Amino acid sequence: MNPVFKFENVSKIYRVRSGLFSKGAGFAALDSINFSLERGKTYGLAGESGSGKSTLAGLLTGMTHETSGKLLFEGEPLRQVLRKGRASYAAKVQMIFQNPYLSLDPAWSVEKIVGEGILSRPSMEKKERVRSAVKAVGLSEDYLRRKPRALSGGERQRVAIARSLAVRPEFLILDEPTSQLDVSVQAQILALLKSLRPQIPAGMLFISHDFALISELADEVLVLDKGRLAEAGPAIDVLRNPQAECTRRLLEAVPFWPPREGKA
Amino acid sequence: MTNALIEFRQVILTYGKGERRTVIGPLDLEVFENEALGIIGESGAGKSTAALEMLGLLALKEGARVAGEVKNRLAPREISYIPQDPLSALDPLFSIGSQLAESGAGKDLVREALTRVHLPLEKISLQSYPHELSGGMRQRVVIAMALLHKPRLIIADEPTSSLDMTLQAEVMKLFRQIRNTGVSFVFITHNLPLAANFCDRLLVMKNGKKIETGTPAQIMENPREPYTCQLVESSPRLHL
Repeated sequence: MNPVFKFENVSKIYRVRSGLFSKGAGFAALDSINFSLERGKTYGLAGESGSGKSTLAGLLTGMTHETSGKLLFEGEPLRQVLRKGRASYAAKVQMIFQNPYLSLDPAWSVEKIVGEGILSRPSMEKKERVRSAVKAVGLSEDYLRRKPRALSGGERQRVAIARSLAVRPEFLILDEPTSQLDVSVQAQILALLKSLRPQIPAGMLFISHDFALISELADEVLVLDKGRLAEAGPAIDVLRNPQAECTRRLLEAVPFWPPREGKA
Repeated sequence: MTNALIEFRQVILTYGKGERRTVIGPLDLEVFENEALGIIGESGAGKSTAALEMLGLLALKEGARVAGEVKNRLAPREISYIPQDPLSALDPLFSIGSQLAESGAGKDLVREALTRVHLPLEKISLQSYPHELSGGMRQRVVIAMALLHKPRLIIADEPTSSLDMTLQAEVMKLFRQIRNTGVSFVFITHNLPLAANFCDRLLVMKNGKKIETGTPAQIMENPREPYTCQLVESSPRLHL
């Protein structure tokens, strides 16, 4: 079976212009990535700021395209898949963003927001799906009529997750979904994501710079360092026995109790 | 104990007209000489408001009324403040040099403060602007600003929450070095393990009230209050 996503020597180069007429130098946000995301696994993507994590998520959602190399979705070039129809791709791959204060339309009710991805469905089915998605993220039905401003950060993120679930996606991309939330809310969202795993057949990609969060969720870990894939492997192996310098740096940075030896 | 730098006795803070909303209190707390006090709590716990009161800035806020007793043994110059987001803390239109000199500090003080944050003048040009610096450098410039007048107390309000893990570790290392020179800290965060690693004493707050206080070991290993237990349990940890 084809992997969900396959990166073949994928690079993404941004042109940085130095003057009005200069062509500018290239900045490689992603540099010759070779990797496959296998079906049914939860991947944790780690890296420091500017390592290319969000660029990678942008490629997977089709918001931007690779400069060179090949990105395959279920064996077919993603560009081709998108050309055939962005909507049918969005029905399979969904993304949840970092900031639930920005990702929801303030003028819309929760019902409308959650139904946004399934507008073309018959209204009975739409209603049904919205209801079950809202229920799946642990919100009651009286939330349907509320507007985002009447929701807390955790509730907003639940609504954003419900919006993705209503589409019944096969693959879910989560870009730092808890970094704007309080710790206890973060724990609830992580528990929710864990419980949702069986509903997302093709798997998840969880992006974070915090290895503690990644170790809660991921089966497999990828580490990006300045656009290059520094390390990849089963979470247990990478966390216990990091090979890349950057992985070690990120692991050592996780605050630990009791404190590690020789830290103070 | 009497050697507290700052002391709150039954402080109650309310906002608004007519029906007033209580944001803090009644709250008792003290910040002692030569200690790092961690104030832990989630959004809306009143952590930042308590910090504003320590800085004496609440009086400037419209509609805020403080009851109770606040004793502050420090002169204004002896307290510094480090905000959360280094990018919005620096003015994009002014060079680093002019922003560092803003508080009246002379060249020598500026140079000394920058050396303390490991940005000697060979590494950073005072003519550079905030956008030309990396996130970590910007945060170090902000810390240097806080160090300019050799404060006895630094109030750091979520100083690392907009930084990535490695930068966070870098900033904490810097804080430890500053702490080792005898400077006291009030370290405000929602990240319990982070505070436990740095502070001598932790104070857990919820809805403007003190839940409990204790050494990091007491709070992390033997929390007395259910809310603290919940915070300890929800803190993500590495599963190895």
